[in-house]
Amino acid sequence: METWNQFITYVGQNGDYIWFQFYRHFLMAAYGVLFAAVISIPLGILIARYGKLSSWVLAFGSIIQTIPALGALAVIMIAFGLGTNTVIITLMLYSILPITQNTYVGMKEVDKTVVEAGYASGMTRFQLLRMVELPLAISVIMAGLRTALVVGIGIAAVGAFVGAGG
Amino acid sequence: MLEFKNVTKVYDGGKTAVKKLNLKINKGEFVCFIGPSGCGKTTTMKMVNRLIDISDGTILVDGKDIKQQDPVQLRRSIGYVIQQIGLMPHMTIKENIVLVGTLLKWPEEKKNERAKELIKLVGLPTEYLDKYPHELSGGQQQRIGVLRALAVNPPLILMDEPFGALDPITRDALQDEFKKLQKELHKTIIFVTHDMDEALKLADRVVIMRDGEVVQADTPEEILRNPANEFVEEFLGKERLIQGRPDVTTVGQIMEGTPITVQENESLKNAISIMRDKHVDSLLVLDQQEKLVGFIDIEIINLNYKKATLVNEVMEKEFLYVEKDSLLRDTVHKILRRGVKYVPVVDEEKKLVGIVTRATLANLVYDTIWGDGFDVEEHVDLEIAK
Ligand SMILES: Nc1ncnc2c1ncn2[C@@H]1O[C@H](COP(=O)(O)OP(=O)(O)OP(=O)(O)O)[C@@H](O)[C@H]1O
Ligand SMILES: [Mg+2]
Repeated sequence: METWNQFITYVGQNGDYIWFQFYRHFLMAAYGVLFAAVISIPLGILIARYGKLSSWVLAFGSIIQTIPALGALAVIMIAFGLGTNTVIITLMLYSILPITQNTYVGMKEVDKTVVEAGYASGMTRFQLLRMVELPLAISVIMAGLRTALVVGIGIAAVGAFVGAGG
Repeated sequence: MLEFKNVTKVYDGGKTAVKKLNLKINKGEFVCFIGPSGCGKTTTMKMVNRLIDISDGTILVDGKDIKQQDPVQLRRSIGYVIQQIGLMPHMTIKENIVLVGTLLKWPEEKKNERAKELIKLVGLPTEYLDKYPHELSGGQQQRIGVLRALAVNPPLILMDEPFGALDPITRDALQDEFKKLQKELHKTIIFVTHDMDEALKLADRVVIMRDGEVVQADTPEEILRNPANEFVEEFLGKERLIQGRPDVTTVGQIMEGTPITVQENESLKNAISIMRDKHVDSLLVLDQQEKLVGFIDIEIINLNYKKATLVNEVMEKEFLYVEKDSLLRDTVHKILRRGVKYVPVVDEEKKLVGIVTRATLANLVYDTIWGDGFDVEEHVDLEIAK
């Protein structure tokens, strides 16, 4: 009960501050995921089309994923100094794998016969991507973005250690 | 229209799928490619619209070498029905049908109009245009797959086992529908199948392939009469070779002339007395122009006697019929496969001209075995054709 009361008091006194920090975390995570998406979605599409690269790219992604967040932050901090940027870059690194992976899976899961029908109907590669593959893969890609965001918010909390606030 | 000159395809792994194929297909011709699995049918077809590159030789469409043409434009100008239907699951039926129109940037109105026109062609209601593919049955989806290939009215259509995945009855119905459609549309059609019955039924010319080579290319009658070699004979099967004779007989030649009928605006009471007088359990219903519009039988009357008074209120409008110049072979098939007792025969205007019953067929068999003069009709309890 004691702790609970303390918590209530704390929230009562620092409400604005908590909201502000929450917002900051969320924003950092969102930026990280967004930048990662800009790289990862095209990357995912690319490796889904040219199969040979896929195992390499995905393996490399998993390696990044296994580095402890704190360690990664420390290394990146050496390059970029203290502050928000370091956290966003770290976030981005951690988001690349889930987004790339989901884009890859989403694209691969599009029914081959539907793609063939698209080609046979006379679609260009770009039309095929825009009219068939992306619409059919979008739910899986979105799931990837969501995973990345959840992971990202966690990492943003660790970011407090490198002076990104929170 | 379409010409293969020494066309050869060697896949990357060194597998030769098609060997020096030479074939000329005329405008408006319906050609069936048939052969065992892996003999190169799909490969041949895909080379035509450049889904697969030719290794050697040339293919001419309308006299023009396809290698000189832009593959995307080429594909838009050739209809293609793929082996597994492949409708776009996220697009409505309408969008699926007019897909090529969308690629060619047709205005919205033109697409709407064309979609409506086409869906009527296969007897589906226009409300289906707003549905999604998963809401349709396999047979309906396959119809849409065919319509997609017809959408921008291409003169040449490639069809890769379009009815392969369907149950025999649906397949049979679609084949009939499609054959009728073809008569109206006069397309040049290449049709791949490995069902010999299908090929013999639909094709103007059957091309039999083995290991990437053409073994025989001829009309169905000629193939049945003079199979090129043992492989073809085996492929046809003994039964068909024996059946080979009636293959050129038309229904009109053997049908019985005077089916028992009733006008659609007669009362049910009169219908019953006709049945009683003529000792039949089913009547064919005609309209004022003597066109066949349905049938009525004892069971239907029994169920509806209290509710209705006129024949056309209760008659069954869905029924099987054949045209008088269709081949006997197909009709026999229908009677046997669908388990019906008789098939009415109509002319081009759907006017009733005769009927084929199981008794007719039995007579035919007796005739061929014992010569004329053996009347079995009296022994068969199906007397609608008396
Ligand atoms: N992409 C490919 N790479 C290598 N070999 C192939 C490829 N596609 C087909 N083949 C081979 O080429 C041959 C002909 O294949 P094809 O698909 O044309 O057969 P098909 O006559 O359509 O058979 P089916 O009736 O089973 O559809 C087969 O032996 C097949 O294994
Ligand atoms: Mg095939």
